[in-house]
Amino acid sequence: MAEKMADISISIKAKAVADRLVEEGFFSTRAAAAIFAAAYVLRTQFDSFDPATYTVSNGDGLNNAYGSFDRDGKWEQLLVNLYQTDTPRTYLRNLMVYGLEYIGDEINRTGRIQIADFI
Amino acid sequence: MRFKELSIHNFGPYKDLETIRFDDCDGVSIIWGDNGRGKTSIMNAFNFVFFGEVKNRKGDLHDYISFINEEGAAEGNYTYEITLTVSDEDKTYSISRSLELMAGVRVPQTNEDVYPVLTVNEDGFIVESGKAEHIVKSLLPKEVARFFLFDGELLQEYEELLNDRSPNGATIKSSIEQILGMPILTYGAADARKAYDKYSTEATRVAQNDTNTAKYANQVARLKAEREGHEGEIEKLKKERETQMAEKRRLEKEMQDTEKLRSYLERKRTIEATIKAKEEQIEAEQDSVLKLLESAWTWMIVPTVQRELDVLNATVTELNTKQSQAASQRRIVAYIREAVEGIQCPVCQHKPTEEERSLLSEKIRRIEAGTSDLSSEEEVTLQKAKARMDVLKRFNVFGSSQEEIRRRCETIDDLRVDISDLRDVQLAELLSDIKAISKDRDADDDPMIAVDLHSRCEREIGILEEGIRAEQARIEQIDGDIVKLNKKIQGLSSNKDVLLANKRLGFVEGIQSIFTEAVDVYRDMLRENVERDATELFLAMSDEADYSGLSINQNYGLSIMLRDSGRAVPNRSAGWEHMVAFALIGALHKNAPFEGPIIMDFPFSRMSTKNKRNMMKAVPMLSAQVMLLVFPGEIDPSTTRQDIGRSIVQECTLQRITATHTHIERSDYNG
Amino acid sequence: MKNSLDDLKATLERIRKEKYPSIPDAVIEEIVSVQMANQDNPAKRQAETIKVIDRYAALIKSEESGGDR
Repeated sequence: MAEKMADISISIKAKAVADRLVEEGFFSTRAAAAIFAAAYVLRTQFDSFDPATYTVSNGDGLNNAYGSFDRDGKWEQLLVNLYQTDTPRTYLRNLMVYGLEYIGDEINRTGRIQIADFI
Repeated sequence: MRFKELSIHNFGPYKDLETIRFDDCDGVSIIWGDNGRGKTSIMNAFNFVFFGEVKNRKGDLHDYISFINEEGAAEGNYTYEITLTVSDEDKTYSISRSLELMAGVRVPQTNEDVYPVLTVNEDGFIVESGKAEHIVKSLLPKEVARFFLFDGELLQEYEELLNDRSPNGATIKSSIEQILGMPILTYGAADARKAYDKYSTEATRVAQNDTNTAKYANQVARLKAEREGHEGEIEKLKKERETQMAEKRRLEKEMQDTEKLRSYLERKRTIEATIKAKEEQIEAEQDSVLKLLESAWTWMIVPTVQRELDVLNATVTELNTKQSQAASQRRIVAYIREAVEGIQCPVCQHKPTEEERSLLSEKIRRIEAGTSDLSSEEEVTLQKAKARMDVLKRFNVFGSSQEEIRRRCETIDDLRVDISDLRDVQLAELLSDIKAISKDRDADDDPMIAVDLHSRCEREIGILEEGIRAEQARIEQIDGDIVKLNKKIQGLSSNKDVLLANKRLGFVEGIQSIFTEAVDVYRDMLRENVERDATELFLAMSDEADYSGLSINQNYGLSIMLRDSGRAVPNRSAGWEHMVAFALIGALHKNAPFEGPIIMDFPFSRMSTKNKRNMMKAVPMLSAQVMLLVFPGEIDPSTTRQDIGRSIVQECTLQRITATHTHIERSDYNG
Repeated sequence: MKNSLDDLKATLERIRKEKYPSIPDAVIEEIVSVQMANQDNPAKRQAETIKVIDRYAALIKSEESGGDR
C-alpha cells in the first residue's frame, strides 16, 4: 500500500539548521542539507535511532514536495529495503529532521561549524 | 683670494663682536665646536656677507630675523653685521653686510621689517654700491660658491653627476664648468657669434646693392630670416624644456617627500590583491566542497548498507544451507525407499532380506524425522532477503570523497586565517600608518599621480630635446648654405665695399671659430686633468688595494674603478661617496683659473676612523687656505695634529657662555 | 680671485696659430679679459666683446691684401 505523503514538512528548528548550512555555503539548497543530515544519521546512529517511533515536533518549518528531496526515488528504495518499511517517506522525513536537529545541537555545543566533523 | 679676517657681531649665537684672524699665512684653520655651538652659523656668516642669504634648517634663504642673537635682541639690539677682509691680487677688500631695520621699525616682527646692506671698502676707500656688488660677485660668483663654502651634508648630491638625466646633476655640472673657466669660452663664442651676425647682416646689405651679387645676397637674406625663425623656435622649445625640467624637479621632490607614503600605498595594494586572491580561492574551494557534499550521502550510507547486507547474507546463507541439506536427505531417502520397495538396491544390486528391509524402513523413518525443509515463512524470508540484497547492493558503492572534503575544508580554514591576519593585523596597521603620514595632505591628493606625471615629463623632455636637435640641424644646414653663397658673392663681386665687408666677416668668423673649437678642446683637456688630479687625491686618501683610480664622465661624475675587472664599483657607500666628492673638489680647485679659500662644515659623517684620517691628510692639498668646522669626536685631535700639524695655522674653539651666547677662543698652533 | 688662465689662453693660442694665423693674438687676449671682467653682467660682457671685435675689424681696410692682421 503506497504511503500517501506528497509533501514533507520539517520542524522549524531543523529548517533553521538547514538554512545555516546553506548560508555557510556547504549546500545550495535546504533539501540537499536535509538529505546530508539523513545520511549522517544512517551512518552514525542506524542502530540507536528508530525512525518509526520518532515524532517531529513543530512541523511548520518547511513544506516541500517529496520530489525535491528524492528526485529519483533512490531514498525511497533504500529505506524500504534497509528498514523493511512501507512508510519510507515518513522515515526519510524523520531521519532528516532528527539529523538536522542533531547537527544543530552539535554546532551549538562546539560553537563552530566544521562540516568535516559530520562526514 | 685670501681671507684675512672674519668678524661676526650679534649674529646666530655670537652676541659680542667675535673675530677669526687668518693673518697672511696659508694653511688649515680648525674650528672646534659641539653641536649647536655655532659652526653652521659661521657658514651662514659667509653666505650672508657674500650673497645676502642665510639658510635655515628648512632651506629658506631669507629668514634674517631668525639669526638675530637672542640675548642681543633681549637687550634691544636687532641688527647684526658680518665683515670679511680679503686680499685679491694686490688689492685688499673689506666686505661688510649688515642687517638694518626698516624706517619706523623698532622691533622687527617679520623679515619685511629688515633689510641687508652691503658696504665694500677697496684699499681703504668705500666704493659705490654698483661697483660693490660687482666686486663681491667677481670675488665669489654664486654659481661656484658650493665649491668654496662646502656643506658636507650635501655631499651625496655629487652622486647625481653620474646620472645623465638628473636636473640637479645638470646644475652641478654647470657650476663645475663655471669654476673651471668654461664660460669664458662658451660665452666668448656666443658673443663672437653675435658680432658675426652683425657683420653678416652688413655684408648681405652691401651685396644686395651690387647688381652682380644681389641675387645671391637676397638668397642669403631669405636664409637668414629662415634661420631667425628656427632660432626663435629653439628658444621656445628651450623655455618649454626648462618648464618641464622645473616640473620634473618639483615632482622628484614630491616623490621623495611621498616616498614613504607611496611605498605604504603600494604595500596596501599588494595586501588587498592578496586578500582578494585568497577570497577567490576560498570561493573555488567552497564550490568544490558544495559539489562533493551534494553527492556525499551516496558513500556516507555505505557502511550501514554493508552491515545490513552482511546480515542478510548470513540469513540467506543459512536458509540456503537448510534447503540444500533437506534436498540431499530427500535424495538419500529416495534411494533407500527404492531398495526397500524395489527388488534390489539401485546402488549395489543386492536383494535385501526382510530383516534388511525392516532396518532400511527404520532408517527412512529416522532420516525423515530429522529432516526439515524450509517452512513457507522461511521461503518468504529467503526470497525477501534476496530481493533486499539485490536492491541494497546497488547502494554499496566504492570510493568516498571524505578525504578530499576534509582537505578542502582545512584549506578553506587556513585561507580564512591568512585573510584575517592580513586584514586585521597587517592591513589595519598599515592603514593607521597611512593615516598618520598623510594627515597633512588633501584627501584627494594621490601621491601615485606624481610618478605618472614624472614619466610623462621625461617623455616630454625627450621630445623637446629631439625637436631642439632637429632645429639645430636645420640651422647648421642653413649656415652651410649661407657660407657657400657668401663665397660665391666674394668670387663674383669686384665691388670694394662688398669685398671689404666679406673680409671683415671672414675675420669675425675666424674669431668665433677659435672660441668655438676651443670649447671642446679645453673641455676634454679639463676633464682629463680633473680625472688625473682627482685620482691622485683619491689614491692618497684610499687604502683599498682593489681600487685603481677614478674615471670621469661627461658630467664630471667620477666612478671608482676596480683594478681587476676595469669596471666601475656599483652602489658605492656614503663613505666612499664622500671621499670621491672630496677628491673632485680638490681637483676642481687645482684646475680652476679661480683660486680661493675653502670652508668645510661637517665633512666627515659616515666615514670610518681610518678613512677620516686619510681624508684629513688630503685637506691641506685642497686649497691654500682651508677652514674646517668640526665637532670634537668627529676627528681625533691628536692624530690630526700628528698628520697635518705642519699645515695647521690655528685652532679655535667655540666656547659656550650660555645656550644662546658663544665666544670664539683662538689658540695659536705651533705644530 | 687670482686669475691663472694660462691653460685656457694656451688652448686658444694653439688653435689660432694652427688654423687661423691671420687673426691677431691680441684680439683673442682682449676678448678673454673682457669675458673675465664682466662675468656678472651679461649685457655689458657682450657689448664690450663686440666693441673689441669692432675695433680690430675696423683696422681691416679694403686696399689691404687678405690675412695679415
